[in-house]
Amino acid sequence: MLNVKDLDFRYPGASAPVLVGASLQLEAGMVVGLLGANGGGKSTLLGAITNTIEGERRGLIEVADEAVGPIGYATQDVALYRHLSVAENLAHAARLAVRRWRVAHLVESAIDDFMLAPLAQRTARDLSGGQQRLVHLACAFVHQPSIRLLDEPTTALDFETRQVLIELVARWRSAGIATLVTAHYPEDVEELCSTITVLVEGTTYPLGSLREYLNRQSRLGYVQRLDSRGDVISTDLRGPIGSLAEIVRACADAGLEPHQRLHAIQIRPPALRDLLRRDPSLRAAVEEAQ
Amino acid sequence: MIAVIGTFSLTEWRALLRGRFPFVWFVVLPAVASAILGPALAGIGAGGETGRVTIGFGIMFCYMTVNYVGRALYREFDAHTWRRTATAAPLPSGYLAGKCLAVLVIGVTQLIVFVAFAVTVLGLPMHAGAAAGLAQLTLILVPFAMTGVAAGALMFTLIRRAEVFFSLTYLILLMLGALGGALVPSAQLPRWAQVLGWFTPHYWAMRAIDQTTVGDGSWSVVLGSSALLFLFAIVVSAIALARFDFRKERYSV
Repeated sequence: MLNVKDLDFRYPGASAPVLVGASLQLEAGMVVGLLGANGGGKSTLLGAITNTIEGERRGLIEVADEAVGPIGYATQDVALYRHLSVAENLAHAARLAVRRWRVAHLVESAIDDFMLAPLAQRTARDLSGGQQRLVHLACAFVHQPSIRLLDEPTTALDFETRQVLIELVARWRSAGIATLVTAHYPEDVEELCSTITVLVEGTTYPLGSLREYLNRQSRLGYVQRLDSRGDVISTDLRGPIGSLAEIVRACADAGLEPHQRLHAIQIRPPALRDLLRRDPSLRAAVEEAQ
Repeated sequence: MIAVIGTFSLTEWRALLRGRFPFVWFVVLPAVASAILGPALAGIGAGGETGRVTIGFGIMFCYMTVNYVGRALYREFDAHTWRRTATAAPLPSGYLAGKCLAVLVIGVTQLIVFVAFAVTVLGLPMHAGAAAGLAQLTLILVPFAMTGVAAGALMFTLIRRAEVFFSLTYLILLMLGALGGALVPSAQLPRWAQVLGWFTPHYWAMRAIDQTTVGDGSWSVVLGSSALLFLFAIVVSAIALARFDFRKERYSV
């Protein structure tokens, strides 16, 4: 549906490019998570794909003929006209993409899909942050495009809105819509995405299926111990941690003595920095880029 | 094209009608200024001078259109809707026209209100006659309001920061109004100011309005001024359109 190959992008006057040979492929029904650090080029990549940022752009961006409507792009910032009602915001966004006779129907569909009926006549400025973000997403995709880009959609989302987003993306996936979601942390896209690509220093590294990748990485553990003198020592553990016996073994592997008092054990999902640190190919890429 | 113009002008209409400040800037402020300063400034000539001063303030404050076109365009950055709009890639000409149309209508309406008030209440004569005067005023007021809108669009393409843009609009409003003879007749200004005034749309608008009202209603003066105003508006709009690029980032206040 969307094929990006060897994309370079440099902002005007910048000495170094932000994107260097970035590539990714979005097929129908695929939800790709694009992970990267702050300032790593995620938003630039989306801007370069949609040709909405000024700069020198080189490379291939192909949108399949069967793609419906202009690419839907939900920016990182909530994009709403604050003086307009929710329905008026939706109608404005729809009118830009489709013929007038389809607008009313699409607005109604978006209100249903995004569960906005109670908010439809309220002015955007009167909505809560989570409600605004939901309306923002509805406006971005009101024309029902077959390619949807979401730039850090989970930012500042409350639990309920996050659940709505997860359900929506799952529905899009089964409807054959190609979706790209950017995020800082894997846990932000874990429930949303089927495959994962990491963006390091402007270059993309496809890691394949997110579930398989996270299963591999979930062997990472984190143990905090307290010794007899009261000093806190933190130790990263490697190896499978799925049972108490494995924790004991992992503690021994990490050099913890039996007489030392264990203060806490914390097993947490891997953060992006863990992925980058542990993955040999990514580590090499980071070192090369630095 | 028509759909794009309609979409953006509808949204801008809603913004203008739901805000109170446009009414203050376009109507209340010039009315108050002309009520306070009008009699003093009018004490320099024949009957109907107060009406002339009122129209002058109308002409001067009509250039709030520059400011309001900026508000319409920078609103996209303030509301963060710019990039979504850019993704939809509407025709730039349709986009600019849609953004400016509502402001243009407000500007023309404001001028009509002030001229009508000056003629009917303040006794400003209409030497060109009612029908010819109406036609002549239409030929002057519409292109004059267009020059303000076009100037706003051009300034937007030149200035990245909204605070710089808006600061300049007030300066432009005062400077062009003064130099163009909207505050006091051009003939009463220093010579250098009169020469500079020739380069302002305000001068040509006031010259033609004077001709229609207190002058002899000469069509040649009105048509000449009108043509210059149209030319100014068209050239400035064309430059603005040529410079306009959806990919260029702007910074709202």
